[in-house]
Amino acid sequence: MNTAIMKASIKKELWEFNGMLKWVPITLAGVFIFIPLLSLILNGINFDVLLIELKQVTQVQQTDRLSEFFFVAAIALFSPFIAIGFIVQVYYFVTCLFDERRDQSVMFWRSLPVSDEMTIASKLLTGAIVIPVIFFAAATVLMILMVVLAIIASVILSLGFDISLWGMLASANILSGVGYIWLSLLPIAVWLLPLYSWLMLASVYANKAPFLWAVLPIVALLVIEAIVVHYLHLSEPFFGHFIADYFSITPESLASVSAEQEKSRSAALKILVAQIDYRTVLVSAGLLAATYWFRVNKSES
Amino acid sequence: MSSLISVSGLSKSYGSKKVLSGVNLSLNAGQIVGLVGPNGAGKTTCLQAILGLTDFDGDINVLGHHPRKDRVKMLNDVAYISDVAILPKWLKVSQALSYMKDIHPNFAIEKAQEFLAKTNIAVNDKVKALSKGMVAQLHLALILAIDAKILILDEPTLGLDILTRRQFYNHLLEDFYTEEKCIIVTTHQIEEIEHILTDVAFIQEGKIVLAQSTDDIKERFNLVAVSHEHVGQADELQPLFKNSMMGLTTMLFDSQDKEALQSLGKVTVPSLADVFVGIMNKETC
Repeated sequence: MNTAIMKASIKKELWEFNGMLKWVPITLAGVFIFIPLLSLILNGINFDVLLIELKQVTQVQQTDRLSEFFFVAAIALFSPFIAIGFIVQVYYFVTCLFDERRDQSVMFWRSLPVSDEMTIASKLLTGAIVIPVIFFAAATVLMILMVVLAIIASVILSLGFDISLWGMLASANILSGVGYIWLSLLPIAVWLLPLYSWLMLASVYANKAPFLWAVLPIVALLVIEAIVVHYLHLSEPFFGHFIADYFSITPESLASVSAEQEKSRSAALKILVAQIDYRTVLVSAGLLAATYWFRVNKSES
Repeated sequence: MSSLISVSGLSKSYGSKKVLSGVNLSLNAGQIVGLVGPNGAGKTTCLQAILGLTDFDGDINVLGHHPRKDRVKMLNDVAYISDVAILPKWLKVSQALSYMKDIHPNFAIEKAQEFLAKTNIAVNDKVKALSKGMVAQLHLALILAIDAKILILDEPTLGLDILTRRQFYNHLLEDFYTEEKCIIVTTHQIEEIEHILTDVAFIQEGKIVLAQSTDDIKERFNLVAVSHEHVGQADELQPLFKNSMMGLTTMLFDSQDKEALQSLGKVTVPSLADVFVGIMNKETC
């Protein structure tokens, strides 16, 4: 695969969705900065109480619990970015092959020496990896900003008030916590590959309303299957069970993995990896092959 | 001379509707071929098959490549402008240039910039801010900057005003055409490009009904302004087309003796549009 063409193709995708991919994470980060600031301005702050509380905190430093606390705080910070990023990803996948057919620019793109395999691969990479990277990066920048503020606060507190937060900051293992979150990016992408592939298929197939094409066939299949299962007195719906089993992270899986893990940070990663199996490969390969076939054979004029 | 494009037995159906039926065409270097036909005759489908954009029955060879199996390699040397304004609205001119430079091995960005400098299009403009004529100019700039051996144009000036249309074809001849290249163009305004065509292929209901050089066509067909008393005599020579207006009958003849025709009235060389109308109306005459 020609990496220069892949790079150019991904760049093209980013140009097309530039507004959304730039302003959504910036707005989200802005909200995270703006809301605490607003609350500070509106409610004011009692410095005497704060100093007493900080002194108490510095006295009960337990490295492990502190590290876990920061990891949970980091996840809390990343979660909105991951969630909104996921909505953006879904929107991207549903429109990425549809929009260029709607405005007929597909005729221009396909008149250039870029293979359909490359086009689909670049769109898949953009949606599954590049978009989450953008949102993870926005969350990380926000995190760095908070750490910088914490360092400035530590300097002021240690020089002016004789309160040392350095030990607490050092034992928080912020870097490794954020590192673990970043490590989950690839397993999430692979785990959700069947969903992404399905959305791309809806995008390349639909002549109108790709969102409906993405949702309605699944709903229809689930309803029909439920009726069949009910009337034929079958034990359980295959398709419904398949979707529920594949996409849900059950308490059992959490318990089984957590029991082996001392730290929850690597446990989350293990759970994600455990969700990936032969179904991921088979379903994704089938749906992507169908997407490729429609891309090559669907008449656009 | 080996053909740059060779099409034989090309057929295509959409369901039960036959769009192309046994099309044979051969295009050589130096040719500018007009593929002319009424709406729905199969022109666009024929070009799309040549470009590998649709499946087909029959054989097509473009520069030694099969358009479907070898599309990407083929497109390194084949450029295409379609009949719709197909540059996406979100694209900036600078982005279009950068993308083409990155993905096309035969794209010369300087040539495109040089061309654009002669227009009112700024590098930072978005396609959505450009008029239809400017979008066509931008598309032409991108395509002319490709050192392609074959240029395929499907109604490239559709919806453009006459000034832009003329400019378009002037640029095509000045900035693209050489004896080593070939251009295939479909248009409804055949009279506007008649002077640049070396060959024409008339297509009707998915079949090529005439494929010849423009010089041969001008030799082969004659337009005669038949005086009233000679109409009966002229009818016996089976004209392709007959048009009576203000007491004068104009008839188009195919491969008739020029001297015999001169006895019927004033003989002139028909335009390609006359021949096209004559061939397309053959059935009704």
